[in-house]
Amino acid sequence: MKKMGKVKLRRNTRVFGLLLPLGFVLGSLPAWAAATQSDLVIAARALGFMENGPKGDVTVGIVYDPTSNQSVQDADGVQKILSEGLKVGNLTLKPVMVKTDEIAAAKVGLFFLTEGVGGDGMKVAVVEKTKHIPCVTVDLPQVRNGACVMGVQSQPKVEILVNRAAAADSGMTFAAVFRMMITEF
Amino acid sequence: MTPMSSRARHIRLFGRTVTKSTWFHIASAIALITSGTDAHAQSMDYGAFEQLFGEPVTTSATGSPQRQSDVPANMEIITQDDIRRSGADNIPDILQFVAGIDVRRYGASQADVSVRGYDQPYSPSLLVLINGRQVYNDTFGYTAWETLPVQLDEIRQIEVVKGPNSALFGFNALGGVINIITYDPLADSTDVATVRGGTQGLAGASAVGTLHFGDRGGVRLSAGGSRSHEFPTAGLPPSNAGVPYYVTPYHYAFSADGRFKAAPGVEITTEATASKMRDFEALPVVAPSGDISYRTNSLKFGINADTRYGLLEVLAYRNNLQITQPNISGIDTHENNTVYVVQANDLFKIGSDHTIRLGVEYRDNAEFSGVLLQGTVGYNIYAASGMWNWNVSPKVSLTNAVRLDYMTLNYTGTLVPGSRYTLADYNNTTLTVPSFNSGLVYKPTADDTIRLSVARGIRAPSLIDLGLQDISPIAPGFSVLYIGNPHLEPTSLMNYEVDYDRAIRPLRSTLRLAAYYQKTGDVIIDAVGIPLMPAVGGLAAYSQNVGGSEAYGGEIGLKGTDPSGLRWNASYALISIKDHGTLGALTGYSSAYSYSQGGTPTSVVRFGIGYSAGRFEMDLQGKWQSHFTDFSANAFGGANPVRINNYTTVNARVGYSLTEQVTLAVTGEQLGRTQIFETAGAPVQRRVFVTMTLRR
Repeated sequence: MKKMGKVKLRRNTRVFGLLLPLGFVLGSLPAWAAATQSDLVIAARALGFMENGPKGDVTVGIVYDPTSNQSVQDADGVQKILSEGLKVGNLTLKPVMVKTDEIAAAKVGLFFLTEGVGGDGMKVAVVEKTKHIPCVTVDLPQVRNGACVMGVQSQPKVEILVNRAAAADSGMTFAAVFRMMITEF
Repeated sequence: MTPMSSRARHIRLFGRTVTKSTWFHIASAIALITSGTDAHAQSMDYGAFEQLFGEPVTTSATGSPQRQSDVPANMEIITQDDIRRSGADNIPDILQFVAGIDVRRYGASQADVSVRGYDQPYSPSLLVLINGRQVYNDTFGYTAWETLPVQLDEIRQIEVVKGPNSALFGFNALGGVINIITYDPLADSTDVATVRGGTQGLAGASAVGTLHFGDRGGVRLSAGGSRSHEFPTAGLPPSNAGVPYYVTPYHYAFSADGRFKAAPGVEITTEATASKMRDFEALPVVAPSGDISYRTNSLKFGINADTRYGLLEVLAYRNNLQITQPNISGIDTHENNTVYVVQANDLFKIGSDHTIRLGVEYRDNAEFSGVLLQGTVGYNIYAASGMWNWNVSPKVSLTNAVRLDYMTLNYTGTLVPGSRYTLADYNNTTLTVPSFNSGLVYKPTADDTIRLSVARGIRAPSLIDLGLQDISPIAPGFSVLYIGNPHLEPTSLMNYEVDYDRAIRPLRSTLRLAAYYQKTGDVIIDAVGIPLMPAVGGLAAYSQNVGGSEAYGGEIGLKGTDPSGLRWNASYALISIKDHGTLGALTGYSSAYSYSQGGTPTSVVRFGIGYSAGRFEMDLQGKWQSHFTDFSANAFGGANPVRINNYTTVNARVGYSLTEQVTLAVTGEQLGRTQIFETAGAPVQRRVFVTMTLRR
């Protein structure tokens, strides 16, 4: 009995040993889809099909909620990607961090809404509407609820989502050819 | 009003007189288009959209811009990278490695292409276009590939639609469509020069250059040509005109393509082309044509605008084709075909889920030949079309497209004595022909796509099918007549298809499966392909509808790339054909119709592998094809069956970049054997050639 108990213990130890590193790996990955450089490149390219959209050097306001770890991590990641200035076509994106309670005062040409901002995301919609500053995000529900005009996703395949009502409210229009190849709602 | 001022009010446009009133209407139409434009550029920038979506985009499936993965049709897109890596110096040699495409090479410069079987000399069922302009030859009803005024270096992509697409393109999009898309003269800078030389005395060169006028416009110019020695013609039957075979085929072409921003949201496109080609050709009927020359030219003008009423486009073009065939009698035959096409389309979205396209088209097609037609035969087509794409849900979309073509036939000239038709038969004949495409696309996951489609395609009788008036006196009072038929019905084809695409991420590959069933009705055979029958004053044959055919088959293919530089593909295509009615009874008389008696290879396997490393690029492509039966002219005006054995052919290319601008490549075609009988025409020889390319 003792022997069998030892064998069982060894087996459990091995299984635990195998699962532990896997747990660390999984634990270190965010449970949400953090924005990647590919997402930002696609967002920049998609903005090229916006009438009177941002051009040249554009300051990107990375909107985050300092009380949300998820939002802070996403914001840090995006800031790192843009820190050297991300050049895509005729756009060069440069970052500035914007807390959710600083949105109205932010002097930016484009908002990037991080994941985990929640209901505060609607504050961006207000600025989008009044100052005609576009907002993009990888948090697609924020597009569906009207906080952001455009959402992008690069994996597993490129998807672009545009909220027509939000775009109309903000006076933003997109090329007709572009509209026919994306998802609008 | 003086005669001088009266003349001044008339201007020649495309060879026709345009009155002041017409100009007023054109100006009014342009004003209507441009009123209410949005300022954003409206054109399809293929390069920008491909970069954005990570896959090619197209308008060839529905007329609406779409990502390749979204189209409701079985479509292959051959990119410029594919073209370069193929090492080929002509388009049919590139197409032969696409699953479901049949290519038959009858000589160094004649190859015939079809989609899913039914290939033949002068293959009639595949519509070929360059940037939406038809380059299909309405005279005989086929595509003479070497006359196409396009250089391989200026092609962005070759779009291949398998199955009918008449609801978008109209007549002749029966078995499939190939739309060749060139680089954009405004958005792209294409500056390439190529020289080529090799076995069979091959010598060729081409140059492509782009001029930009700020960001307001651009023009791309291209010119090129090549010549070589013909494959051996010793075993071929005597040519039909008795002239020696022309054994140093050549072709050259010029093209100017422009795009200009006329106003915010309004763009103008222009194109002018010319080409010349001379070779010998196998015909779908008795003996080959020993020496045939083509001259083509075209003019195209388009205006499109992004308006509050949608994307409006008006496109007008004129194609001219002149064919000359020497005859030992001294009476050479000349055919002169001119086609005018005017198309107008409006493409718009309703809400977020519905895309609509409405279109109208007018076509004026006329063919003059003093010898073959004894006059001019032609037709006018008035067509209306519509397409509705409904994104039912994020995973499901449904597309329906319909088109109605109304054709009126006309003939001016003198019908030969013995023709059983009258001028009234020609000038009172009309046809009303519907076509449609329906496709359901279901994407259960990001990796899986299922397509269900049903479509009806139509093929117009060629102008020779309709109007041939050929009389060959054999003895005093006794002649042989080959006569066109004004009462021919268009060939129709119903296609039912299920496709499944799956991304296999661990293999970085895409699996494509297709299964289809096709039913063809009213197959057209021209008079020279019909057995002669007693008639007043001799013997006669008339173009006829000769029954139908059905086919089922499918394709399975795997294609992948790896970041290491490795790429691979493999596919298998299967088809089984059964003929019905008179078509079956006539089997064996001509290679134009012998489908069910082995006229199409049942199985084709294709494979390819390639690798890029540093300055090297190496690619190998192969094809194994099962046997089939072709036909060769006999001394009695008919044709004898010729068994074409199964064969394997392997092509390879090795490219090396000497500098960032200069690439040197060696291509070997048919590496396994020095000579293969791919058809009853001239045996295809091994070719080896070197290509040097300078890109700026």
